[in-house]
Parts: sequence; C-alpha cells; structure tokens
Amino acid sequence: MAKKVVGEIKLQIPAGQANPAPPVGPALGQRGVNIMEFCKAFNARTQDGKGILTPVIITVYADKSFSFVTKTPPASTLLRMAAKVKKGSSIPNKDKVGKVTKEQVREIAMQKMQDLNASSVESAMRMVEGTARSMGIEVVEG
Amino acid sequence: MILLSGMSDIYENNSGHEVMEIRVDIPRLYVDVVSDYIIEHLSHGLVLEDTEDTDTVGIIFYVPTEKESQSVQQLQNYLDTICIDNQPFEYSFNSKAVNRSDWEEQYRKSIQPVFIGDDIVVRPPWIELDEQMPFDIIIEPKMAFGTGRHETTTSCLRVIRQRFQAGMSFLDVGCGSGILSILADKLQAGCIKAIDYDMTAVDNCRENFTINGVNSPHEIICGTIEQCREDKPYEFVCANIIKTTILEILSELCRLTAEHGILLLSGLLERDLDEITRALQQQGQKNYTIISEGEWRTVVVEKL
Repeated sequence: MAKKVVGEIKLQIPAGQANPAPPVGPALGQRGVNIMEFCKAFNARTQDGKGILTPVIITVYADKSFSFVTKTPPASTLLRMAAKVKKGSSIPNKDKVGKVTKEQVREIAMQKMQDLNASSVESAMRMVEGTARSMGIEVVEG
Repeated sequence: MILLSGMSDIYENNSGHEVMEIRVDIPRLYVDVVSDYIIEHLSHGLVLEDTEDTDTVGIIFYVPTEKESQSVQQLQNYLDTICIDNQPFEYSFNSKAVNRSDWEEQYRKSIQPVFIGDDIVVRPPWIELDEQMPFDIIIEPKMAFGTGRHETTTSCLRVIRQRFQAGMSFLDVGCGSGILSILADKLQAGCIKAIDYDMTAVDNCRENFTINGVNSPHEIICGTIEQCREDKPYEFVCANIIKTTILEILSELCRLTAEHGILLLSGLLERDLDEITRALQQQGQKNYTIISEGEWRTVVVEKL
C-alpha cells in the first residue's frame, strides 16, 4: 500500500552541500524528518554538480520517512552560467553584468520548458528573457 | 562529516540562539530571479511555499538576527528595481524569530530505536528497551551523521559486527556521531581513532563515547585524514563518507589499512561503483565485495 503523504517541502540549496543549518534544519526538523539522512542522500546524489543551486522537492510521509526529487537549476542560475557571471545585477535597470545570445536563451528555455509551465518554446524564451533582463543580463542576437 | 564544506555562517554564529525567518510573498513570475538574488546576496538556501493554486509564492530564507532589517531593506531595494515584461508587482514581507532548539527538538522527538541484525540496537538515551540487547548503542541525536537509521550506517554496522575481531585497531574516517567506533569498542577494539572535519560531529562523538562508556584506548580528532599521516596501518578502516571525498583520499585509506586488514567504503550509490572500483584497482586492490541496501552500496575491501 502506498504510504500516506503528509506534506511537501520545496527547497533550493547548493548541490552537494546540504547541511543542518537553515533552511534545511528548520524546514525538515519542524516536520520531524531526519535532517541528517536527507543531507546525506541529497549530497550523494548531487555531488557531481557541487555548488550549483538545485531545487529539490521533498515528500514527507505519515511515518516521517521521506523521498525527494531534484530539478534542473533555476533559469536564473542557468543564465548566470551561460553569461559566465557570478552574480546578477543589484540594479538591473541600470547596471548590466553580462550578455547571453538568443541561442543560449533557447537552450535554457528548452531545458526549463516543463518547470516554466510554458505552452511553447517561444513563450518559455520570453520568460527566460524577462528573467535575464531582471538580472541585468542582456540578450543579444546570435 | 568530512564530505561537507563547513556549516554555514548562520549556524556557526547562532549556535543555540535565534535566527530570523524572513518570508517574502511575490508573484510566481518573479520567483526565479528573486530566489537567485537571495541566494547570491542574503542566504545559502531557501524554502518555497507554493500551493500552486495561487499566483503568489512565498520565499522563506534565514539570516542572523542582527542582519534582519538590513536584509529586508536590501531585498526591498532590489524588488523595486526589477520588472519583468513591464508588469509592476506587489510584494509583502513577514519576519519571525526561530530558535534553533525548536527544530532540533522536533527532529529529536522523531528518533526511534533501530534494530540491526539479531543483536544490535541503536537508540536515543531517553528510550529504554524492555529487553536487553547484546550490542546496545546509545546515540544522542544531534546535527551529526550516524543516527543508525541510514542504510549506509546499518550496512557498516552489519559488516563490523561480522568481520571485526577483538583486539583489532579501528580507524573511523568521517566518524559523525561515532556510532561505528562505538560498535568497534563493544567488540573490544585494540584502539580507536575517530576523525571528522566538522566540530559539531566531533563534539557529538565525544558525548556518545561518554554515554556508551567507550573504554578502548581512543582518540577523537577534528581534522582530516592528514592527521593520520604518522599512524601505523589499522586492521579495520571505515570511511562512510561520499564518493568524491573517498576518491580524493583513497590512496591514503589504502595505505592506512594493514595487510589482510579490512577497508570499508560506504556512502556510495550504484552509479558511483565504476569509479570506485576502478580507483581501487589502480591501488592494486582487487579483492572486494559489494553490499547493497536500498539505493546505497558499501564496498568491503580485503587488503592484499
């Protein structure tokens, strides 16, 4: 019989670096989930992409056990990687920090289609372009 | 544990104290970009409260108490400068103090005894058993690996129970709570050395050694395998860590394992095995068996 689900926790944490500090500690501890067990499993599964921001959805069951799935990094992380910049701009409407090509935007959009809930690649691209603008990353032809 | 880069500042600076939980509610469209900003500028990670039936998503992150107003102000300034597709948006903030002991206590309450094989039990100090078990390991559950519930820990305990002989020397690399060393002590280890790079784990290991009355000669060290450079080889070596770290220190682990001794490598997934076994062969170690427990794998090497 399938286990009874009592909750879902969505986190974004760096791959391979989960530890019991916030947000993992409070988010899981408050629900009685074994924090260290999650950290061990998450770090083992994501160790090859160490440091890359990774969304993870943890399903908590009535017996306090859990399962989790990891998702592709957020579009903003992928954009920073594509533009080879460490940070987005703090004042995106004034200070530009880097550039990505339309082709790179398309690749990110394809990768994120499902998560963005977009109906077409073009609409996903528009969302990714919006994200780029709000990070101070310019989208150029190419 | 040796595998992790240290605890985040917020944890170290607030040991036993409060941290501030800041929640910002924003339209779904902005979640990615705002999350990115928070991670890059304010916090190491975050929680998303997303019911999927509303257009707004709550982003929760944690900062040291003294940085709350500065963090809110900084994020507010940022939110005022972003605007995707010319869509102005509203946002709201909420903050509350959260005590570390609140979540640790909830976590502690969830810990139950674990029975391994016929004669090992791992239990927290406040749970007494009706029937005495031959190997009764008491672990105070703190923020260290090794509460006995994880498959890698149970695998290692089983192998130690089967293969460890009285008088053997025992090296525990990435000792966490000290659970494996405590079983080695109960099996009459000749001497024990337990190492972890995380001070929280080392403190917990010391506490658990005391609770369990470990009486084999022992050392508990906060550091890395470098601290074993001058050591003679051990007859039983455990490294329940993670693939990347095991690969980094494998040659040293092999050197530190005595001839005909046992090297236990755990914290591995099926997909890690190719790399691990290839690396073992490069070290001239071909005599190994693999134990599966759930998705986890433990490699038992008999040193040639």
